[in-house]
Amino acid sequence: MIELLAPAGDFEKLKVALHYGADAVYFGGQNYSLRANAKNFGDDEITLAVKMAHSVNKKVYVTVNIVFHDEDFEGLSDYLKYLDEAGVDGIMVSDIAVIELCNSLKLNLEVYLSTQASVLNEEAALFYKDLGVKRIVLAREALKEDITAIKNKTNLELEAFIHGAMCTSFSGRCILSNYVTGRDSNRGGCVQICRWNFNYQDHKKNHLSDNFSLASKDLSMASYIKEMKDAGIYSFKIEGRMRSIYYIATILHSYRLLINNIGNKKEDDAYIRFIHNVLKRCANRETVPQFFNKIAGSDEQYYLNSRIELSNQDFLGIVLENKDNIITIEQRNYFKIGDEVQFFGPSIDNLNYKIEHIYNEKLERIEVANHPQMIIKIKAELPVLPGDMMRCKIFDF
Amino acid sequence: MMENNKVLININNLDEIDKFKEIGITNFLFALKDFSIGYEEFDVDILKKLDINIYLNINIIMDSKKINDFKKLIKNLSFVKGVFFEDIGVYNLLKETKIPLFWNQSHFVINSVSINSWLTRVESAVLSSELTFEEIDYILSKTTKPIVLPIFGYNMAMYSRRSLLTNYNDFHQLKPLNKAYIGASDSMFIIKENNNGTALFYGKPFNYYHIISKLPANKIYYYLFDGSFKDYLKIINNENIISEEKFLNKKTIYKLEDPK
Repeated sequence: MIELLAPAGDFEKLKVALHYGADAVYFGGQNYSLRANAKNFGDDEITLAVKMAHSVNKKVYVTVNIVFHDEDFEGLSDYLKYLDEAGVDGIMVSDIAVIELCNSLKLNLEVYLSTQASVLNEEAALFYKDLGVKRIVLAREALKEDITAIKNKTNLELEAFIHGAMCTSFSGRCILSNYVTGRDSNRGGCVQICRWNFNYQDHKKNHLSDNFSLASKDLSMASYIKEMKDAGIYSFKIEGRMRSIYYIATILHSYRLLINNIGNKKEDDAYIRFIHNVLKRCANRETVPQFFNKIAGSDEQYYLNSRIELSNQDFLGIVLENKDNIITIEQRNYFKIGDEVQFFGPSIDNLNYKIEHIYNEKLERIEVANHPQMIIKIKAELPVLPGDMMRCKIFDF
Repeated sequence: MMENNKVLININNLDEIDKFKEIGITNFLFALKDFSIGYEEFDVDILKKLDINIYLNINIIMDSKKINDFKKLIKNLSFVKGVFFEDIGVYNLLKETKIPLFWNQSHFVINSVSINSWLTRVESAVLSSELTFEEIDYILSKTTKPIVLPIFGYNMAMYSRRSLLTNYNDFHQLKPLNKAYIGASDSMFIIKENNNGTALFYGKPFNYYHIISKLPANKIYYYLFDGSFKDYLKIINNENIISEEKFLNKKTIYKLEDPK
């Protein structure tokens, strides 16, 4: 069994994540979460989110993973009880005080150790297992042998990040934001100082450059899904509660296909390479495997002249309806007659199509779809469903 | 006033031990070779020969191989007075020994509830250095045992498994360095690297000596000092020393709404 775990920064993203093959979603509430400036979920919204996810047999995890100052404990007990009553399946925590509070409250929800705790070895994992933790979100620095050792010695459920942004530091071991901006990294205020350029001086304070960089490339473990599963990973986690719905849909769709293909003949063919290309193009930063099979080195970091910030308009539209061979689409980026596009969705892998005609809402012919979120129609016999997305055909398979 | 028996000196230079001993200080903290980062490291065999109270600073996060390497070392640690640990795996391995343990998890020792939980398991805990005075005072009023208060030193602002200096210097074909300085937006950081990764320290030390008299001495296990003997004399004599109280009088914020 494998769990594909997706971020859900708001309700729209939650719906997309559930639709695109996530087995579980995670998000933060209004407090206690490490994305203090994400939209996050209000209490009523959490109840609705749980109902929505459970109605399609998916799970909901809530992040309660700040490192608490004393003032932050106010209201925490009530909040945890609320999450439990709302039916939340698990919470992700980093502070021992929260784990013990959950134990004393005898909650039904499961307690998972957040990656903030940076567990990399079986002895630390055993400590948290003894405290009642059911799952450990491993440190992003975990090597394959660490995963195997922890799994073998603890038999805990293990969760690992497979895609998204990386901290340069061990999670939880960085207060650069606190120093430079007064914002508390470990309470959700991180402003990613590690992505800044620094002036650089040697040990005698001789100036060396103005472009010293700590920044990490993003993570993509697409090449290692089977190996991660074999090492003992149960939950494959995608980072990015603040990313777009197109990003979430594309990443989930791609990893869902990779996971579903484990062990079958499609695993090593050109089709998998196509998926890798799609994944790489979807992110706005370069994605690479990071630790797993090595200690990340210079190839895994951004330096002067090597930084590639991608931004594209690949996301063309989202299917609203397909009835009587008329497909209704909400436009997201410019496209025109003659463009080659690709549909993808939970029930279709990737479907190539050349735009032959475009119609407006009144079924009048138009040449281009050039207004954001305009409703257009295509007449075609295609097996697409509401929620499927249409993108530029950049790669073929 | 600090009583000498409640002062713990982090040693970066063995030559300074005698100077501290001459003024009556007997407790010393040493970063353990191969199991620490950011400080001068010392081998167990050298430390064994010193006739002083020795505490070990083991401040790295360990992978599976490293924790197993550490396991092999435990039998040689019976001479130490205590172990300061970052990785919870170290606690798990040492909890059945008689070695007194000190919870020293960077940036996590910031609330009285967690501290009291740990104090049921360990000898004491080391307060993180990014707290306000009010928070320190509150925590001391709530903790069930005396705790270790850092009073002078350079605060570690970031710790990475990556070799950040080596990676950058290799990429740009610069000379290898294991210590350098980096700066951004008026903040300067000292960057140090060893085989365990990279540590960034804020470029100016904090000096909390002046708050000692405002805090209950019976709630302090040790006053932890990390600096040279010269610095130590300066701070206890209230001489001018370059320092910056970054957080002592200013709370950090974490939501955009907070400044309104």
